Amino acid sequence: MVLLEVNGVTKHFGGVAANENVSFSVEEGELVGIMGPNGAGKTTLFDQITGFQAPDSGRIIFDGRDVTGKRPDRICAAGLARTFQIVRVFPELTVLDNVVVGALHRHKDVGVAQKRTYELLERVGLEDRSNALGRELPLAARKRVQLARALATEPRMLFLDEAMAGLNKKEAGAAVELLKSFRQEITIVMTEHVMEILMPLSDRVIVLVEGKKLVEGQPKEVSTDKRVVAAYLGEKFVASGE
Amino acid sequence: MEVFAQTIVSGLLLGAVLGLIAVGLTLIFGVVDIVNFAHGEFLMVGMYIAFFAWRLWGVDPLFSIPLAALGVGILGVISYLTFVRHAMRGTLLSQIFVTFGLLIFLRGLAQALFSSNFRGVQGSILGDVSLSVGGVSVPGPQLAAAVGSLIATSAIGWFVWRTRMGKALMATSQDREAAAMLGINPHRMFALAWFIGGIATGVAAALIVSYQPVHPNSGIAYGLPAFMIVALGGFGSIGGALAAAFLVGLIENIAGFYLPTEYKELWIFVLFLIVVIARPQGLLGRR
Amino acid sequence: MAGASEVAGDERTVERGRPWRRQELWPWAAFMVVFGLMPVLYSAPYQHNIAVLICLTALMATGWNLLGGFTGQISLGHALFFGVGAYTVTVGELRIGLNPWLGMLLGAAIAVAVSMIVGLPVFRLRGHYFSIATIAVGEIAFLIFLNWQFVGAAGGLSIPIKEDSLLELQFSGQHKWEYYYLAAGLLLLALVATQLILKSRTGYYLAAIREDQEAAASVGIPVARYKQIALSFSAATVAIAGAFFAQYVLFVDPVSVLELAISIQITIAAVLGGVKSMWGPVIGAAVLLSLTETARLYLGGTGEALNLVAYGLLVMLIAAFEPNGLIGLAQRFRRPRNTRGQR
Repeated sequence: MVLLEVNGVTKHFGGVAANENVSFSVEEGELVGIMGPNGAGKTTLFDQITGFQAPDSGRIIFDGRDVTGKRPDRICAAGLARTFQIVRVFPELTVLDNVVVGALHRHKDVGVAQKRTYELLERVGLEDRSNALGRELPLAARKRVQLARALATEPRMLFLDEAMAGLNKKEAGAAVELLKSFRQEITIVMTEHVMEILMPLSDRVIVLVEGKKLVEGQPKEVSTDKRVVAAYLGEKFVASGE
Repeated sequence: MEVFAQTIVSGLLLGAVLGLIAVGLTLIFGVVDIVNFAHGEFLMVGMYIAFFAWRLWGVDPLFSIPLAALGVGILGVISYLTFVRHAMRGTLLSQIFVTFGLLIFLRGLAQALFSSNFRGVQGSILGDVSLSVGGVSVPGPQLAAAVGSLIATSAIGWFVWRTRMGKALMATSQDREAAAMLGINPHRMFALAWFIGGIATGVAAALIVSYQPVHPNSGIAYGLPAFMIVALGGFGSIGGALAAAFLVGLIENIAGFYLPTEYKELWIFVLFLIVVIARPQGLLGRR
Repeated sequence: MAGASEVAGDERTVERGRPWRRQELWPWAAFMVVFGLMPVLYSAPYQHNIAVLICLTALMATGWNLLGGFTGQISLGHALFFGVGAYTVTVGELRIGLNPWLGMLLGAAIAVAVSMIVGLPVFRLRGHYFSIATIAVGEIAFLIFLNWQFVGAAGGLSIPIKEDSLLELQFSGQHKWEYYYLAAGLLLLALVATQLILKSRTGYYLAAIREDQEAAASVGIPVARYKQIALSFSAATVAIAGAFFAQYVLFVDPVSVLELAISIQITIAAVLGGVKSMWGPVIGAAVLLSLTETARLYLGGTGEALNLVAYGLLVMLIAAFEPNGLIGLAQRFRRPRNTRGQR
C-alpha cells in the first residue's frame, strides 16, 4: 500500500526554486533512495515532508492523512520520523536519556520507555555507552544515537538525511549493515549523494536535480540513465576516505 | 501646532542620542553575538568620568568626550578579555548572565565609590544657550548632544563601511567562520567590537552629562530603551538601530505629551512587543 | 537523569521499578535538617526575618528554574507573577474579605492564566529576544500597577492587622516561627512537585526542549505546550510566594513586588546555586541572602554596595567559568566525572 504521497511540492526562497513540482510516492516496506548533487533540494524536500518547512504549494499525504504544513511533532505522531544531516543529539543528556526522550512518545511511563530504550541501544550497539553524554561521543556514535532516538518513536516510515555524511569507509560499512538489519520492519527514505552506498540498498531511486525530479526507477536503470550521468558529469563520487 | 512641533523636535533630539547608544549595543551583538546587558552601566561609567573631569579639573563635558570615550572603550575591552570571552563558549544562560553580573558589579562599584547621591554638572558651556526656531525651543545641551551623537554615529558608520578594519568587523559579524578563513582573527574583532561599543557609549555619556544627573542607577533611563531599540531594529543592524532609535524617541515624546505621562514609557515596551512578535527578526534584522 | 538530582552523584541510570535511589535521599535529609533547625540555631528576630526571606526566594527561584534552567527559557520578568500573587491576596482581603489562603490559590490561578496569555506570543521568540521580551512584559506590568487606582497605584495597599491566626495567615510577635515554618513548608512542597515533574515524562521533554527545540519536535514533543507547562508551574509558584510575602509584610506596592530588580534577584539566586540541579536555587537563595545580610550588618550602607560588587563578580565568574554554579563547583571537587559507566 502507498504510505506516502508527495504531490507537486514546490518551495521558493526569495526567487530561487528549492523544489519545483516534486511528486512521488512510497510504498510500505520499500527503501527509497533520493539522489542528487549538492543543492538539488533534497534536505528542503525532507524539511517540508517532516514539518520543518511548509511548502508554497503541493500536498503531502501520509498514511491517508494530509500532513501538509503540519507541525513536526504531529507528523511524528502520525508515524513519520527523521534524522538530521548535521547530527542533532541532545548534547548534555546521556545516550540513554537521548533515546528515552524518543521512546516516551509512545510510552508515557518512564520505566517502560527506559526498558524499550535498553532494547534499542542493544540493537544499535550502544548499550555499553549508555551513560556517555551526547557531546562526548564521536560522530559515528552520535549518528547511532540519533537513529535509535528516531526509531524509539516507533515510526512506520523513517527519513534519513545524508546518514553517511562524514563517516569513513569502515564506519559507513557498519552503518549500512545496521540499516540492513532493520529495513524489513520499517519503510525507509534516504538521501545520499554517494551512489555506491545508495544503489545497492535501494529498491527504487529518485533523482533530484536543481529542485526538480529528473528521473525515477530501479537503481540499475537510473544509474545508467543518460540524463542522470549528465547531471553528475564531471563529479567523481566515492565514499569519503580517511 | 507649535506644541506638536516641539514634541517632534524633542523626540528627534532624544532619538539621536539613543541612536548612538543603540548602535554601540547592536555592534557588539552583531559581531560577538552577546547582548551587553551592562550597556546602560557603561553609559553610567562614562558619565562619571565626564563628571569627575569637570569636578576635579574644570573640564567642560564637551571636551572630556575623548576621555570618556576612551575610558569606556577600555572598560569594554577589559570586560571582554576577562569574563565575556569565556562565557561565549557556554550556554545562552552564561552569555546572558555574564553581562548581568557586570551590570551588578558596575552599579555596586559606583555606589561603593561614589555613594548613591545624585551629582550634576553645572555651568557647562552651552548650559544656558537655547535656540528658538518658530516657537520651538531647542536647549543648547540637548542640541549639542544630538549633533554630537549624529557625528559619532556617522564616524562609526564610516569606520565600519569604509575602512579595512571596519569591513573585517562586518565580515566577522556576517559569518565568523568565513571571516576567520580569510585570515581575520575573530578574537581581535570581538575585542574591537567591545571597544567601539564602549567608545560610542562614552561619547554619548559625555554629551548628556551636562543635562542629566549622574548616579549609580543613571544607566537605566537610556539603557533599557536601548535594548528595545536594538531588538526592534534587528539585532546586529546598525541602520535598523538608528531608525528604531528615532522611532522610539519620537514615540516617547509624542506619547508623553498626548497621553498621561505615567504611561509614556509603557508604549515603548508595548510597541517593542508588537513588532518583535509580528516580525521576530526586528524591523531590519536578519537573524 | 535529565539534570535533576546531580548533587547526589553522577550516575544517571535510574533502576527500573525503584524511582528513589538511596543516594538521592541525602539532599532531602540535609534540607530537612538544615531548614528544620535554622530558626532554632539562628534565633534572633532579624535572623528569623532573613530565614523567611530565604525560603521565599528559594521558592521563587525553584519555580523560575523549571522554566529557566531545565527548559532553557530565561525569563527576566517573573516579578510579574510575584506581583499578581501579592496583589490578588491583598485586594481580595480588602475588597471582599477573602481568606488569605484562598487568595493565595486564586493568585496562583490568575498567574497561570496571565502566563498563558503572555506565553502565547512571547514563546514564539527565542534566545535573547525572548529574554528581552520578558523584561518588557515585566516593565509593562510594573507601569500599569503604578498607575492603577484600583490597586492603590504608587501608594500601594495595606492589609489590616488581625489577631494571630493560622486561618488568616497572620502572626504577631518578634519571632517569626510560624511564618518561617509555613514558608519552609511551601518550599518543601515546591521541591517535591519539581522532583516529581523532573522524573516524569514532562521532565525529559523539558530537558529535550532546552537542548534542541527542533530535534525535540522531530521526536514528537509539542514544544509550545511543554514550554507553557513549565511557565505555568513557575508562574503559580512565584505567585504563591508573592501572596505569602504580602501576608508577611502586610503591605504591597509596585516597587516592592513588581520591580525588575526582583526578577533579577530570583534568577541570580538560581544561577548562583546552579541551574542544572533542583537544589541550586535553594542553595543560591541561602547564600545570596546570607551574604547580603552579613554585608549590611557589618558594613552598613557601604556594605550594600560592596555586596553588589561581590555578587556581581560572583555571577560573572560563574557565568564565565562554572555555569553549573556553586553546586557545579562542589561537584568538581568531590569526584571526577565518570562518563563511561557500565549499566
